[in-house]
Amino acid sequence: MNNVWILGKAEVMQLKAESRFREKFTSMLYNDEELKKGIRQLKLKYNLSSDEFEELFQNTIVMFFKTLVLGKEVSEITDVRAYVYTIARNRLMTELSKPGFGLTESLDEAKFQGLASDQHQTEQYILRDERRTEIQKIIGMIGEKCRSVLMYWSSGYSMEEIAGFLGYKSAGMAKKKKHLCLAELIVLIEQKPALKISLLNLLK
Amino acid sequence: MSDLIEKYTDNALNLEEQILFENRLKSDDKFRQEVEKYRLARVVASAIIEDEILGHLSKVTSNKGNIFLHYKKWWILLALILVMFSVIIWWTQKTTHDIQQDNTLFAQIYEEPVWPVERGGEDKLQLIISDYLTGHQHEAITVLENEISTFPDSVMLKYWLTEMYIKEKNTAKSSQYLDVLKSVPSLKDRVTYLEIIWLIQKGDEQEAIRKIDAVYDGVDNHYQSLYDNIKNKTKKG
Repeated sequence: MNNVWILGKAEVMQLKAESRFREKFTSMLYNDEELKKGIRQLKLKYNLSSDEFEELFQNTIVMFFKTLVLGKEVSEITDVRAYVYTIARNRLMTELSKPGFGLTESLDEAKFQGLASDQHQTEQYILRDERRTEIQKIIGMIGEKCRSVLMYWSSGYSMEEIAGFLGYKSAGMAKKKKHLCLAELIVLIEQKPALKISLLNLLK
Repeated sequence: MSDLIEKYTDNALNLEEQILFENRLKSDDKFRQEVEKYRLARVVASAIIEDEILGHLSKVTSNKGNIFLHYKKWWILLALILVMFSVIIWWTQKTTHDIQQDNTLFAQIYEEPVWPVERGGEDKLQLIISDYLTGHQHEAITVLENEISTFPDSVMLKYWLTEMYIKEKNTAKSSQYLDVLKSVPSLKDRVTYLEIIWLIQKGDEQEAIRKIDAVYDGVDNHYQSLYDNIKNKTKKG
């Protein structure tokens, strides 16, 4: 990568496929002062506290990867900083549009600029509130390979694509693995009735 | 049932199968519950990437903390170095100050003897003293020490060597002949004076004052004047 802020097809594939690259890139994003400076403009504009800013910044990074890894349509990013900034702004607009914030004017302005209206399905947070700990426990109980298979499966990647990401010899092997992992995951979820109810509400 | 759900979970349903799937969802509770399990599993699976990135972020932020701690350690080390440096400077200044103070006091209370140097004198002792007074203190003292080894009964060699030790502030050696020399009546007052100077040189001013008080009435006006001066200049005085 000559310019780390331009992600070509190969780099996007690398980030989709390998956790260690995602870890490295997470660190790079989090420590990038220019990116932080851009998002800090939002903090100043919308009068966010330091904690709110930190939450927004971290959530934005999570969302960036969620979009990149799970979003099948993302194959190249010509300006990572601008892309991440847009995600941050969209996230903030979503938060501000919730009842109780009363920042309609700001929201309208954002909409006018076409930044707030295209919420991707992946922008829904699963790991929040009381669900977080329970889900993280479950995720922690399944093996690393299973986590990877299920992660791609949840985004609608085909078994051929999953086999390609994870180095399985065939789609059939990936499918077999997915079958076993999914059965394991279902059993784990079944053991947590409260979590089930919470997740069902999420699906409604 | 499982084949259909399997296809559903593999995102592989065609239009006809989708219709069949949806119809069955409406009519078959057991099927619906079974599908629900898969849907919930999919939701949890979609959180795997969140969990992973949050883990990476947690590492990054804790590393930041570690970096802070790392720097904190360096700050502590730097502070320790500064404290040590300050102590060294303070100690050096104090020592220099003490030496200067000692030198000043010594200059104020010490009176040199009348060195026995005569123009054209051939006496070996005179030659040694002459050497001593012309900047060859170390050589002169060494020669005089050797002479005493050869002539151990020579009081005058011991006396002049003691004078040199006192003048050089060699407190370790100054006192070695004092007792012997005090028993010589003609040297008694001078040797007592040297003993007092020696006591002050080694920091025992209290003992020096006590000594002065003990001998004060038995000495002549010149020594009384020297002792008055010592008492005035020393703290105990």
